[in-house]
Amino acid sequence: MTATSVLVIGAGIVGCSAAYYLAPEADVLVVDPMGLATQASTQTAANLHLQLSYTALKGGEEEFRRHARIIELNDDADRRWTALASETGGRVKVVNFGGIVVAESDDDVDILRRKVELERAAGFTTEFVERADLVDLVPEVASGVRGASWHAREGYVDAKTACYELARAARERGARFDLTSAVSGLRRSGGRWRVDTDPGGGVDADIVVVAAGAWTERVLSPVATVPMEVSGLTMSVTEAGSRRVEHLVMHTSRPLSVKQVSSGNVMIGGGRPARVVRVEGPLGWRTEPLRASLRAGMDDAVRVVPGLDGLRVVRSWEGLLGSPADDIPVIGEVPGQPGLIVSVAGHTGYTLGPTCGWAAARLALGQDPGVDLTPFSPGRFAAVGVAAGGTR
Amino acid sequence: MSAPAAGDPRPDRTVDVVVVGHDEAALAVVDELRRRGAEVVLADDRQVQVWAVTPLEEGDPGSAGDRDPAGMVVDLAVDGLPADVIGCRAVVSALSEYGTVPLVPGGEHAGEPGEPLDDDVLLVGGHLGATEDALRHGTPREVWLPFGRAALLGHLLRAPALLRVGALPAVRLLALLRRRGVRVRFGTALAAIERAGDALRAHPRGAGVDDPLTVRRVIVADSRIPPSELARSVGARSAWDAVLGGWVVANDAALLPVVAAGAAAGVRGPAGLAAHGVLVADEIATLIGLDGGPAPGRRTALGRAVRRGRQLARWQAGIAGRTPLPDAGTGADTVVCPCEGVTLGDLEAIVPLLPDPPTPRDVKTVTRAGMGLCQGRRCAAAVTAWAQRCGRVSTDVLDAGLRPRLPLTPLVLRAPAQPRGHEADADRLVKRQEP
Ligand SMILES: Cc1cc2nc3c(=O)[nH]c(=O)nc-3n(C[C@H](O)[C@H](O)[C@H](O)COP(=O)(O)OP(=O)(O)OC[C@H]3O[C@@H](n4cnc5c(N)ncnc54)[C@H](O)[C@@H]3O)c2cc1C
Repeated sequence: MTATSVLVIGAGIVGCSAAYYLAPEADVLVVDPMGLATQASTQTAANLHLQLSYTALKGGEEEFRRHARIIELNDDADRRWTALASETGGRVKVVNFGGIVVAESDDDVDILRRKVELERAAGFTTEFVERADLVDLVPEVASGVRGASWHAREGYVDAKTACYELARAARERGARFDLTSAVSGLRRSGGRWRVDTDPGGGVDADIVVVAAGAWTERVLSPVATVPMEVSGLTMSVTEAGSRRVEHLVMHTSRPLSVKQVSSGNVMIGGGRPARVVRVEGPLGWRTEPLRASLRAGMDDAVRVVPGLDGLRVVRSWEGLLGSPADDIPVIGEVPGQPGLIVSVAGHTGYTLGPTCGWAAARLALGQDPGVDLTPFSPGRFAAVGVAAGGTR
Repeated sequence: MSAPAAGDPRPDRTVDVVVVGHDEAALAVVDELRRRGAEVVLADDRQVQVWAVTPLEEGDPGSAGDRDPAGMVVDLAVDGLPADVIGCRAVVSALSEYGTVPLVPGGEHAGEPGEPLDDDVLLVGGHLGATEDALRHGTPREVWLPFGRAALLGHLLRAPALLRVGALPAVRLLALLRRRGVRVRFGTALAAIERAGDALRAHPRGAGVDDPLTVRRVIVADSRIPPSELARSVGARSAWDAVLGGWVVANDAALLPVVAAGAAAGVRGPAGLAAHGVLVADEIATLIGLDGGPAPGRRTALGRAVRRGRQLARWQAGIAGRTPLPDAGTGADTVVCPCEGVTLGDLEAIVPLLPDPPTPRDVKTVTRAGMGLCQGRRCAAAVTAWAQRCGRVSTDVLDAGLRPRLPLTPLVLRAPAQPRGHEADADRLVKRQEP
């Protein structure tokens, strides 16, 4: 039996940043059966999404306002990534070259105008860009783009190395990582948390931070309910090439994100689906490619950014995204379970990763996270929890 | 059919492309290129051997004139006798590994083309097919294999059924080498080749050996020698070019412009081979300027290739690490991943960043080794060997390592030529292309 003051379950961006923020002030142990950042936090496109995506526009204005509550987290995340970059001497690589959501049809132009209006009312710094101004602002998009919404702080993070850098810094400050054990059980015992691990003799912890992404529901299931939805997403990347895109380019009504990272490779994402298959093993799921998604992603990319013509796609992969069932981040202590903290954001979970990690760390230390977490409390599922608990 | 004198690149005839091989990939390349109007020669490797591929300089007799690239001359042989000398603009090697084309320093013929093997030849690499082929035509003086005897047999036995047929030839081959009295050096790679008068002096690298061999000719038959080692071994200089995103070989005679197709590029299975063949034909067509868009349906076939690829990936994960990375005296500038320009020095430098124990996957993520065009086919073994040599990687995590991902081979992003779905966009694209 290992003992620690804080146990972090999951070594993705949330778990690694929580460990980074906790390490100077607490005894921290991170466990993950798969290794460092092997799941969503490495499969991710790692775009810094600071305006709302087309999915937020689907359910009407009431729904839109619900999504807009994320703004405080977005602002915090933006500041926090910048700080992480400077605290690590630039080894956490953050690029804020601005992001643009394009409209190729008049209908999409109308949607974008409305989105920008609503976003600005909610405090976002999104701007609508007329066709005539696009040529100067984002010359790389096709001439058929009729309008766009722009956020100057959007960009991306180098997700290949970010978790490694945060984990290294955390280790240097005393955090421990067990990257071969899965948490298999969780219960309260003698005022502490008794956590079973497989393999291993288990962990005794004062505080448990659940940073298990898509596996949040599963890890919590013995003691609480946070319903999650799991989906497979598709990514492709091209060989490195000369500079062709200097911004993050997205689409109003089609799942698309295109950016060229500093190594010259162009990443194509945006959320096209992949197949999710249930399997045995610590994670319980695996993903498989859908040809239609690959093809549509590539075709959209080169249509919207014609300069990509001729680049070779060297690899495609899929990733598993876990989102809270109501699509709003869950950050907070589980009501009635002292010292059990959950932190998971979903769709823009990479962007919000350090904020999720920071808030969880503050809560674990009994300190004020500095952002209003009321809209994100796991307590909102409490009613569901009782019902579900009754059937277990 | 006349055999040219050594170094005389004058071809008997000139075509667009020479395809070497006989499998589905080779046939698909030929079909597809012919469909597009190219003149293609299929050199069926069961009957003919490629003895040398010599790149032509601008203005050489037989060079493709003002066309770029200047072209190549391929020397073919039948049963060890010179058969045909063909000029062409591209060569597709659909043999089973990259390195089966005989490689001579400086791109010159170090001996008569098509000459039977004699005891003045050193065969390095240990690709079974190539070695067996070579033995059919003579007996080399020595054979250098980069892996140990146990590893050779061991990894073949672990190969998926599809590939296990290779185990028998391996056993047969070793027996044959013993019968013929060929000296086999296991665990030995090629470190350098230098000229010694009319001959070549080959320096081995491996388990404590430093016993150079002087021969007239060296044949390299393995893709697992890190390409920089290969380039260096023939005296080529290379430098990482960030703009081009690749290693630029200063002495480009050493690495010939040969395109690998099918098994040579790591693709297995009939559907996969055919799919890849079509893709390669696409690339060649672009390279030499043939008209016509990509063939329809190629991506469907690619889907099937992927499934076959998974089997290969598992097998590759199994053999990774059993192939020693040349180490004694290997410099920090030795390229481990030629696609991304990752050197041994780069690997050493990232150790502090890795969790302990690191997995090959950690190495890949942090250094980008294995993330380039070939997707780890050339570096997986070296990266895994390095990680193991650090003594921190246990074999049961090797499966988490480098693996080829879909698409197995590069797909090219192309602006759609035909209206599809978004009519308006296609329209606009057509307009955009007008001057
Ligand atoms: C393809 C794709 C593209 C994306 N693109 C973007 C984007 O552009 N921008 C953006 O902001 N977001 C994006 N996202 C979302 C974002 O990547 C994720 O929300 C974020 O990475 C989640 O981080 P995490 O740390 O919560 O989860 P993860 O990184 O998934 O980490 C959870 C960890 O928990 C571990 N775990 C699971 N079960 C157990 C157990 N029983 N015991 C211990 N550990 C366990 C897992 O092994 C895993 O390492 C994308 C996601 C995907 C899949």
